[in-house]
Amino acid sequence: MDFAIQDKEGNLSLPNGTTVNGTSNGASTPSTNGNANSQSASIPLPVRSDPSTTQRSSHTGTFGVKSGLAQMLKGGVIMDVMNVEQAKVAEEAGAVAVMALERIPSLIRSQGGIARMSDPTMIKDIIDTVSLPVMAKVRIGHFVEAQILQAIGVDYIDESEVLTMADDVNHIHKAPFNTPFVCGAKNLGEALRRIGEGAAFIRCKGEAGSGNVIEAVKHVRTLNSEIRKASTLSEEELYTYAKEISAPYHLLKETARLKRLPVVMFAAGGIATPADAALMMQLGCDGVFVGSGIFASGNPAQRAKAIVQATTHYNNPKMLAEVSANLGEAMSGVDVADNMPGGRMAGKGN
Amino acid sequence: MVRIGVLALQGAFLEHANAMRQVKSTYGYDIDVIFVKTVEELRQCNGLIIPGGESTVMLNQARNSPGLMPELQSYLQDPSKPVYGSCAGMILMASEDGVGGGKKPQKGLGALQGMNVWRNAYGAQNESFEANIPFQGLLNPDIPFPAIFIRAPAIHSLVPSTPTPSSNASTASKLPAREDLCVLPPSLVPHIPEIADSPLGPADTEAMRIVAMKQGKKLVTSFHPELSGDLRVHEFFLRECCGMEADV
Repeated sequence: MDFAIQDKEGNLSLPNGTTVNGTSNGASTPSTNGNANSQSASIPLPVRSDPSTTQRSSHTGTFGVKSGLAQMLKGGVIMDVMNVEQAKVAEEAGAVAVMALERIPSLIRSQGGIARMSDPTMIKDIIDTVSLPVMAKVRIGHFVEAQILQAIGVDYIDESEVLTMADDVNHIHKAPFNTPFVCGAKNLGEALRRIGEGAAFIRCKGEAGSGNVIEAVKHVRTLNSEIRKASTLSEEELYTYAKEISAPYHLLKETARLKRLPVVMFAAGGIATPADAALMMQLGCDGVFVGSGIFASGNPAQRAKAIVQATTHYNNPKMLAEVSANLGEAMSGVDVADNMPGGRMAGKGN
Repeated sequence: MVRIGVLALQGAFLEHANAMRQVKSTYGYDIDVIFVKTVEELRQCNGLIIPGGESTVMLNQARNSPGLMPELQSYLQDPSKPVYGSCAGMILMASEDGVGGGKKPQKGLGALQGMNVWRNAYGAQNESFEANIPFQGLLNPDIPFPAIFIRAPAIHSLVPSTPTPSSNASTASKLPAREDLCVLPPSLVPHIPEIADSPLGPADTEAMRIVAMKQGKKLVTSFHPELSGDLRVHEFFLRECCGMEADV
């Protein structure tokens, strides 16, 4: 044994052969219900990954490292890129991660056809070019595309409504994957269902490829208002509310206690200007995804830089005025409506 | 009252501030925690925390905030200033020419002269891991620290390579004594690829095992105590680097 190991009771076995009775109450220690006599009758409480049951000294793919990477991306901008050159522009501009995909959402809208996972070669080329974390998208429910992305070593998988759905009923069972997942959500119930399936990172859906921030605002305001409501409910009411919004009860309870989602939440879907990014940050998002907003605009490099600046200094209007100036043409965008080209993407998956 | 700043350009700065505020209420340290995005805010700080995040983005944003970069660099290089860097923060604290492993050349800010670091030394996210490891000098020293490594950097090499005993630190060299606080077992050491033209030269396998180190008032960890809910590393920083005493 190389170093201390903690067993289920919280007792420690130290490398020098001694043991210490448990005093800490770390995440790996299951809580007891305080009644020693009821052991046979009580239902065991759910336990997070328990390092003591194996002889391994370290653990990959834990929820801690999955949600932890999202926490490292906070206050940053994740940019959609379609090739190595765009990935370099994004890194140079100060992106915190890049999302590799063959067509940005505005192109998926205008060109139509089935949108699928990108070619692994293109994703690997981007991984080999930038030092940043690289994300890539899979179709909702397409767990084999996810297996492929995990095998080529992407840092985050986006199970995304931007692509065509592979399963219109089920999402991917994400928890067993070593690679973490980010998923979109329009409201609290949807966000908590995704976390229940194993997502370690949530973004609002917005309306990708529209250049129109209205849906992102709507989704974040809905999430915020539902979280506020949950945090005021009594225990009894919380059960009812969980039923109402079809959310796993334990995640709803945790959300109510924290007064925020239990994972990082970014804005996405329609962000096209520095002001849009700052708006989403002031509404309480932890960071932003910018899809078509950058590479469908007149001057991608400069716009990308400005959006990064706006995300850092989102509550400094003077700075925002400076970075918003002289950016050239923003993406033209479209009105969000049922008959828009490519239809409403946010409606895919629930 | 001691004012602790958390560099808030990007990354897990909120988590560090929350941990510090919990240390304040749990152990009774007389501190005030502020976020640092501008040079004015930096000047108010008695101590500084550089959080985890993307080191390139933090450097970029420090350059873009008027006057912040030179002030930050001189703050980090001032031996009288307590500074703690976790993960990306550790990369920023490396020697000026001591950062390797990225796809593009990158500079350190020289808080720890002689410390060379290698970015993403353990690999990509699929290799990110958690481990309970012993950490010297913490409260309850018998309980190992739950360390979370996320696309973590590693110390590549240290100059001088052996810690100077504190007794002759002032005479033998101008550097304060180095304390290796947390050393990984050999089984967890990362594999830094041998690159013939690496400007940092060959990696030192002993140095690579060091994942927490203190030198003077500077503290670095390649992992993320701000994510684990265990407050002991933050308490250690106030006690050992800021020279504070708990009021309990």
